[in-house]
Amino acid sequence: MIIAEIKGLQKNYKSTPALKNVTMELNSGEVLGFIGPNGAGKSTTIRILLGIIKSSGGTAKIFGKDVWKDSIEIHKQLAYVPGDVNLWPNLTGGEIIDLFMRLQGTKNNGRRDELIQKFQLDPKKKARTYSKGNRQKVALIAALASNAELYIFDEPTSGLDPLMEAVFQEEVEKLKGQGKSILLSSHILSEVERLCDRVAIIRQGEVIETGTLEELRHLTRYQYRITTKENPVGLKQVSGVHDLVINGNQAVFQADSDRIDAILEAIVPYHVVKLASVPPTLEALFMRHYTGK
Amino acid sequence: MKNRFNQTGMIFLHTLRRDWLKLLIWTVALSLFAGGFAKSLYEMYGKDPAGLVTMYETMKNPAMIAMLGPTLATAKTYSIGAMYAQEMILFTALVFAIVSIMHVISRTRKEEDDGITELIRSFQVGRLANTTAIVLEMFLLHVVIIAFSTILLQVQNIPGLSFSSNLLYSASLGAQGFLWAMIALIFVQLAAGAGGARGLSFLTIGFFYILRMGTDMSAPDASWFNPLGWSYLVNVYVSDDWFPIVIAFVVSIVFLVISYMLEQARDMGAGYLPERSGRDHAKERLLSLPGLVLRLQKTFIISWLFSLFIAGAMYGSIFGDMDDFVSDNEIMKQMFLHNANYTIQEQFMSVLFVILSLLTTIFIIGSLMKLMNEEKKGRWDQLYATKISRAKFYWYHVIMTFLLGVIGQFAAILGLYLAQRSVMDTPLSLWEVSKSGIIWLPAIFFFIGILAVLIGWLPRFTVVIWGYLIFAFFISYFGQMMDIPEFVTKLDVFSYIPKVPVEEWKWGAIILIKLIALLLIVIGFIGYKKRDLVSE
Ligand SMILES: Nc1ncnc2c1ncn2[C@@H]1O[C@H](COP(=O)(O)OP(=O)(O)O)[C@@H](O)[C@H]1O
Ligand SMILES: [Mg+2]
Repeated sequence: MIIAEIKGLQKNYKSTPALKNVTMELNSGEVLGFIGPNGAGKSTTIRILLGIIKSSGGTAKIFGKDVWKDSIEIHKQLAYVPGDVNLWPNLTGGEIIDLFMRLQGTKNNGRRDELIQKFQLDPKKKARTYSKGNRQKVALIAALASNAELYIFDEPTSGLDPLMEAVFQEEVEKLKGQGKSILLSSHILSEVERLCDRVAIIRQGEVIETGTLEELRHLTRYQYRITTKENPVGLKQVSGVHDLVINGNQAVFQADSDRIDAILEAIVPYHVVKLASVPPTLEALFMRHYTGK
Repeated sequence: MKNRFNQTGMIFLHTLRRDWLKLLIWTVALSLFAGGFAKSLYEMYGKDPAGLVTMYETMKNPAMIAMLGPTLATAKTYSIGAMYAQEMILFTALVFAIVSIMHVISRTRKEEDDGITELIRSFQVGRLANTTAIVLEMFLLHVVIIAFSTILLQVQNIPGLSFSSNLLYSASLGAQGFLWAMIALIFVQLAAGAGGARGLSFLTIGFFYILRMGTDMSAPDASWFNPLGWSYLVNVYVSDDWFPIVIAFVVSIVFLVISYMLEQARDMGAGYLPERSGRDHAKERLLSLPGLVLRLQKTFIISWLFSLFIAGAMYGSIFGDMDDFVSDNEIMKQMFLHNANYTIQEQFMSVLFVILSLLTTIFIIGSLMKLMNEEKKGRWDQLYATKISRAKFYWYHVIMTFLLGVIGQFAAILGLYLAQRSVMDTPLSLWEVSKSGIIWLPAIFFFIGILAVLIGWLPRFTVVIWGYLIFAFFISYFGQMMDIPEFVTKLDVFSYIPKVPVEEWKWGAIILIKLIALLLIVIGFIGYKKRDLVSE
C-alpha cells in the first residue's frame, strides 16, 4: 500500500523555483530516507506535505488524500518533527510535550515518561533555557510517544549528541517493527544506512534518484583492482571501463555494472592472478549524486 | 585587579557603536519627555494665578497624589514650576527607570543567556569589563539627557523657571535613570536569567511605587527611604534641595560595588537565586488551542486591562475639581464648554473616550498581532501538523480579540466610573459612562478588520496597521486644533463615531462600521486559509 505519493511537485517562491520536480513514493511500513545537500528542497517538500505551504504544481497525496485540501484528516494520523524546533520560551518542556501530544490526539503517559527518561530531558526547565538539541528532544518525545501511522522527521538529529542519536535510531527501529511508515530527511549517512529501506535523493529541487541502497549502488560503478601475468593493455578498448590506470601488471578501473561480463572476458587472456572489487562507499554514492558527476 | 577591567575601553566603544542609534533616540525622546511639556502647561494654567490655585486643589486629591506624587509646596508657593514638577517628575522617573532596566538587562544578562558573553570572555577581556562598559554608557547617557533637558527647559523661557531649578529638575530624573540601572544590575547578578532579572526589577519598582502611595499620604517622611521618593523630594522650583540627588548617587555607587562583588564571585551564566523549576506536566487547561493562546498572552492581557483601568481612573479622578477649574480658565473653557446643555464632565468625557478607545485599540492590535508573530517565529509549524485547522487558528484569535476589545473598553469605563464616583457630588451613573464608552467599539473592531485583511493577504506587512493607528491618534488629538482637510479626517474611522453624550447616538454609522469590520474579517480569512505560512 502506498502511504504517500508525490508526483511532479513544484514550488516557486516569487518566480525562483525551490522545487522543480519532486516525485517519490512512500510505501506502508517502510522508512524512506530523504537526502540531499543543503537548500535542495527537503524542508520545502515536507512543509508542502504538511499543508503548511501550498505547492505551485504537481500532486501530493498522503493516505490517498490531497495534502492541501484534506490536511486535517491526514494530520489525525501523522506526527512531525521540524528541522528547526521553535518553542514558547516561557513554557516548560514538560508542558509543551503534553500540549503537543494532546493536540496530536495521543494519550500515553507511560510511553511519554519512558521517552523523557531515555532522552534525558529535564521537563521542568523553561524552553528558553534549552539548547537546540533539547528543543529537538521535546519535539521528538512528543512525536515518538504519539500513535500515528506516518512519521515525518526533518533532520531530527542535527542537534543531538551521538548517544541521543543512537536512542533516536533505536526508537525509529521500534516504530518500523510496528509497521509504521516513516519519512526521514537526514544528513547522517550511517543513520540512513541503518534505518532506511529506500532513499530518495534530491538535488536543486529535483528528485534525481530513488531506490534501495543496493539499487543505487548498482547504478554506480564498482572499482576493480586486478593483477595479471601480462600487461592488460586490451582493457583500453573495452567499453564500460572508466578511469583506467595500468601500472605494469596491475590495473585499477571503474566498471559499469552491466558490462562486467564483457570486461571479464577481455581480461581472461592476460591470466588473472588477483582480482578485487570494492563496492562504492555511501559517501562516494552521495558525493556523486550531490555534485552531479 | 586591573585584569578584571581589561579591555573595558574597547568594549565601551564597541557598545557605543552598537547602541548609538538607540542612545540617540532615547536622548531625544527622554529629554523631550522630561522638559518638553513645560510651555504648554504654562500656557494652559500658569499665566493666571487663579488657575494655579485650582490646580493645587486638584492635585491635593488623594487619587492624584497616589498616581503622580505629592508636592511640598503650599497654595502660596505653588508656582508653575512646582506644578510642572508635581505632574511630571514621578511619572517621568518611572519612564527613565523602565528604559534603564530594559537596556541594562538586555546588554548584560541577555547576552550572557545568548552565549555572546562566553565568546567575548574567551578573548582578553576582563570579568567586569562588559558590566563597566554598560555602567559608563548609562552614566554618559544620563549626563547628556540632563544637559539636553535643562537646555530644553531653558529655551522655552518660562517666567519663574530658573536655570538652577531646571538643572536640578533634570538632574533628579537623570539620577533616577542611573540609580535604577544599578538596581537592575544587582538583579542581573542575583537572578538565574534575563527574564528573572527583568521580573525582579519591575517587581521592585512596582513595590516602591505602591509603597509611596501609602507613605505620601500618611507619613511623608518615610518617602526618604524610598528610591522613587528621591525624585520629588528635591522639591524643585520650591526650595531646590540637592540632597536627594547626593543620596541617589551614593546609593548607586554602593549598588554598583555590590553588583561587582556578586559578579566577581559567580560563574558565568549562573545566578544566586535558585531557579524555580516549572511544572513537569501541563495543567489540563493549557491543553487546547484557546488554553495555549490565553496562557501565552496572560501577562500581556492582565497588564493591559490593569493599565486601561488606571487610565480611566486617572481621567475620572479629575472630574471633581473640573468645574472650578474650567470656569477659571479661558483655554479650558474654549476646549470643553461648547454646549451649555451638558455638564463639563459630560463634555470632557465624550472627548476622553477617543483617547481611551485608542488605548484599547493598541491593546487588541497587540493581541491579534501575536497570531502573526508566533507564525513568523515558526512556533505554529508543529501545531499546524496536528488536526487543528487554519479556521480554528484564525477564528480563535479573532474572536478572542473581539472579546478583549469589549473587556478592555469596560476596564477603562469602570476605572473612570469608580474614580469619578469617589470625587463627584452628583456622579454620573455607570450606564451614562458606559454609553459614552461602548459607542467606540465599532471603530475598535474596524481595526481588527484591517489587521485581519493584512494577516490574510499581506502577512509580511502587518506593521502597516500601526501606521494607521498613529494616523488615527494624530487626527483625533490634533484634528480640531489644526486645519486638516476634511477628506483626510474622513480616512480616520474614529471620526465617524458620535461623541456621546454630547453628540447623538447614531445607529446607522455604528452598524455600518461593524458590518464593514465583519466583512474585512471574512476577507482576511479567505486569504489566511490559502496562503503559505511565513517565517522570518
Ligand atoms: N520562504 C522562502 N522564500 C524564498 N525562498 C525560499 C523560502 N523557503 C525556502 N526557500 C529556498 O528554497 C530552497 C529549498 O530550501 P529547503 O527546502 O529549506 O532546503 P533543505 O531543507 O533541503 O536544506 C532553498 O534554496 C531556499 O533558499
Ligand atoms: Mg531543511
